[in-house]
Amino acid sequence: MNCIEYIENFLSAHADGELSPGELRDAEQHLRQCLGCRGRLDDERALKSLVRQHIEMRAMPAAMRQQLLDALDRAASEDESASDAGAPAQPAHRLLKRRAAWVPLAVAAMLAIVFAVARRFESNQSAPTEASAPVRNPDFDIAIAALDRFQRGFAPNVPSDSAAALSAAYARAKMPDFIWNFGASGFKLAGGRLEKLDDGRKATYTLYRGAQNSILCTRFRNGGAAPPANPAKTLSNHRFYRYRGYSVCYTRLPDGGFVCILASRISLDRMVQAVKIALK
Amino acid sequence: MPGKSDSGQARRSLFEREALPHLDALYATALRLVRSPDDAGDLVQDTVLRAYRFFDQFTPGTNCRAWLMTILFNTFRNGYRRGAREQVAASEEEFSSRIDAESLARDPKESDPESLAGARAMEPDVERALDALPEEFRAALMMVDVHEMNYQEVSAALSIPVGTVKSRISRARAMMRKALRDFAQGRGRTCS
Repeated sequence: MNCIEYIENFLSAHADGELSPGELRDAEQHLRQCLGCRGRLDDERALKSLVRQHIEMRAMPAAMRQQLLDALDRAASEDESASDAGAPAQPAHRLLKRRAAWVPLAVAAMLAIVFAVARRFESNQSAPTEASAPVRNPDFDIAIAALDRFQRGFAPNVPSDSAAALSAAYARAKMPDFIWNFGASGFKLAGGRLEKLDDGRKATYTLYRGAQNSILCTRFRNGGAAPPANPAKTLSNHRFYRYRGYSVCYTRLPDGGFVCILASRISLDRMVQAVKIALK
Repeated sequence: MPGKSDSGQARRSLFEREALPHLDALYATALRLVRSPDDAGDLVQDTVLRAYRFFDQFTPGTNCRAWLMTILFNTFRNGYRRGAREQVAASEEEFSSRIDAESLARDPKESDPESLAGARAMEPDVERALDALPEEFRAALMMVDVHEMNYQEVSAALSIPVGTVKSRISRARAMMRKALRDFAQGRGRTCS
């Protein structure tokens, strides 16, 4: 194998771990004899890493995310209603804001859906049913979106060597500086981030990593809005909710109109236990 | 019909668990394809609704992100491609011939990883270089480098043979490297 052959046919796949065992053997044999191509492979890996580092995983704006979740709620409801009404299982709807591309519908299916939607509207005017979509909470959605984002990758952007250093960094930013200690429940402090929400409010994110799951503590000012209704459990001023498959603990902090939201995939009971132990 | 409602709720919960953690990744990719945040939001919404509709076709335990990217890219191709405006970079043929010449003429000094380290401080350059790639090269590179999809998954997402994925990735990186070097030199900052 010469350099041109290596560069043309092997280099990128080598950096991506996509060579077959035979190809890998040939490539490594060439690299043993060729300093230039070893440099090229390092360069290729550095570029790969550079792209990954700099093409940030831009978070979907909270309002846009909410709009999508609402559309998904409607799609799910129409699905169920159409199914109950005996209409085809595939929903015949388009929910996009500006790109609605209506497809021809069978008259019978249309009537069934109109009937089903009307029936759902009627039911919404009375008491909500178990099958109705869960009520969305924008504060919870912010915390959950951040948890999902940080589970894919988390790098602190404030000093996070210790709980004390992180607490001091938050205090300097005039943000609540209490750092949870979930160590006894198997979650270690991974670090903190100071960011801004879409509307410019400052937010802190503190991640605690366990063996399989993480707990994210999100804090921002919400102006003292009332806490969400119907918590599944309450522990002094900490309210616990099951929300879209996540466990959430919501706390209104006494000063400054801040809220603290813990979000995790662990069970609600485990979260309650972790908070209880940390507060002792 | 409580049975049907329960089943609908279970399907919805499973979908939320599998698909919704990838919303930001879908949005980041959509932004690189359509550029406008509003269009990217529309594209992601369309993708997610399609995915929900066809969720029965997803095999649990497989790569949900790759499955969603496949739907995203198909949706983009079928309704969001911007035609002439999308040709920000050279045509694919022109691009390919430039890269052929580029990759074979590379000076070993340019392979010094320090040259990339020098570009590290210039975050907007990476986005500019990526945006300058032809759309399908950009999509393939995003999938491999940012979303960590393997070539087989990219092949399925873009409906192209694995060999084509390989060549697109190789050519896209060569072009990225050249663009980053050009941007740095344009500011009077040599990279090596």
